[in-house]
Amino acid sequence: MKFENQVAVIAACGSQVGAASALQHLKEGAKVAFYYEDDVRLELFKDLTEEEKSRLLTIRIQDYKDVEELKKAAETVLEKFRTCDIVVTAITTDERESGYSMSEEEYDRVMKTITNGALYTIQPLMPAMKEKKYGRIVLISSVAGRTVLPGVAPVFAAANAAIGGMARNIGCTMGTSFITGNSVCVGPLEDGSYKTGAKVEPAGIEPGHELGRLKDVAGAIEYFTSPLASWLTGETLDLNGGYYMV
Amino acid sequence: MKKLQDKVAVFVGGGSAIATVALRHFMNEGAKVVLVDVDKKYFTRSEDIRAKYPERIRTFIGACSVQEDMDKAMEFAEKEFGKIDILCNYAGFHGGGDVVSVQKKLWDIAEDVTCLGTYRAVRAVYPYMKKNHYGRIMNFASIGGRANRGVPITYAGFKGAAIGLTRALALELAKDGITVNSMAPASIDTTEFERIPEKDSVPFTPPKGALKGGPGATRGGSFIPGRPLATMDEIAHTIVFMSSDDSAFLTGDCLDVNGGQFMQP
Repeated sequence: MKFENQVAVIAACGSQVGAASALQHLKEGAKVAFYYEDDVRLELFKDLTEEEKSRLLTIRIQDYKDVEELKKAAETVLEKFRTCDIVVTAITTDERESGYSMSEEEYDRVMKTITNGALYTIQPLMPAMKEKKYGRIVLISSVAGRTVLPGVAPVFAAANAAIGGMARNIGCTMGTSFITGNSVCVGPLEDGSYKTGAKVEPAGIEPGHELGRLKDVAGAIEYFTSPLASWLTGETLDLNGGYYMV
Repeated sequence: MKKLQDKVAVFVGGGSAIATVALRHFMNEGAKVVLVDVDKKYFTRSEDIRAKYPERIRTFIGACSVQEDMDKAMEFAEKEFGKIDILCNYAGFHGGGDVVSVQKKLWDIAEDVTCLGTYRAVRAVYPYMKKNHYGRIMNFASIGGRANRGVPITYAGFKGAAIGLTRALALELAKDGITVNSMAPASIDTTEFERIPEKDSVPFTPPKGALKGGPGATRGGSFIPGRPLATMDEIAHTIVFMSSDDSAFLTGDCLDVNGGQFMQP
């Protein structure tokens, strides 16, 4: 199997994308540490076999803005699995206040959940990947950070643009350790997540496939986490059904 | 789980080194493939693979510069395997020259093969994909048509055109369940195969002071130490992804495969 003997850490928040990707990695033989903020994220795991369950570690994250909590999570992962090969961050959050009337507190919450959550997830796992000179890092972001969408809250656009910048930076700076960094940039998904808040939500151009499916995103993540993806780095994959083409 | 189980693919320019390695990956993933190229000499590269999978590979002699050849190639594929799910356009022509020195003949061939060839192949395959409301089309472009790379103007221009054509086709064909994407690799290690020189292409000599082509031209090399070139297996990995159901929500996109030499902001 493609990911046999590999350890994947997959951080989920605000979407079922992380769970879908975790499931795919489990099916392909990986050991998976799954971070989640809400029990609803565990629903996709209910049909796992006992053998697959034995390769799954779930860790509840109360606050993705809390660096100490994510350090402890990484310690738990490394204690159980001893190493890390793959990190996927699928961390998003809806804004509770709209657009330009947003309070500074809410701006701060959205920005830090998305950007700091990704950073704090990846950071404590880097030494393990650097030591083994191997790593695949994939950050999920939104099309709202990629192109202009009237009505999108500035903080949501900014935070998701930051994710793309982080992926390019990881690609530039961690290549020396054979660690790749890429981003998958999605539009609204079938589970209701990754809505942009735009006046007209972006949609795929194929009739009947306007919303991204969880398996679409999981497939794109697998493309970047595969061992053969060794020469893919710093890329942003625009996975939006043709709404925005670069 | 195999990514391309029972899918039928047509490779135009199917005798190229990349297409040959992609063929190996397509076989491993369960596909059937028709290789199309202008001369049977190009098929010698895939002799071993064809001998191993005789029931799943066919060859067809035809040129993407001739619409009738493309029409007949698709008719042949449908007749042999019953349907067409995937079209991979590998055919291209380097040409030569810069904006001042380019010869009209090389300009015309590059236009005819690299861009119009893709258009002809897509036009030929469209009815077969349309009737099944399913299709994956992959156009093999280059970083030379995507970024600031020192390559002949014939190559930069028409690889760029192929990327633009991809977006236009994606918009047109989405209603029929067909996705169209391109990929833009940087330099690839093809030394596994003996090079077959392109007829009429001339070596590129950049004007004085201009960047040369090849690894490192854009920013000093890939970000992966000791890896200035992609392996053909890494390229095939991208082609399999673009041809599979994993890329169902991806259309009009251009995938960069360059070790970080060009990162689209």
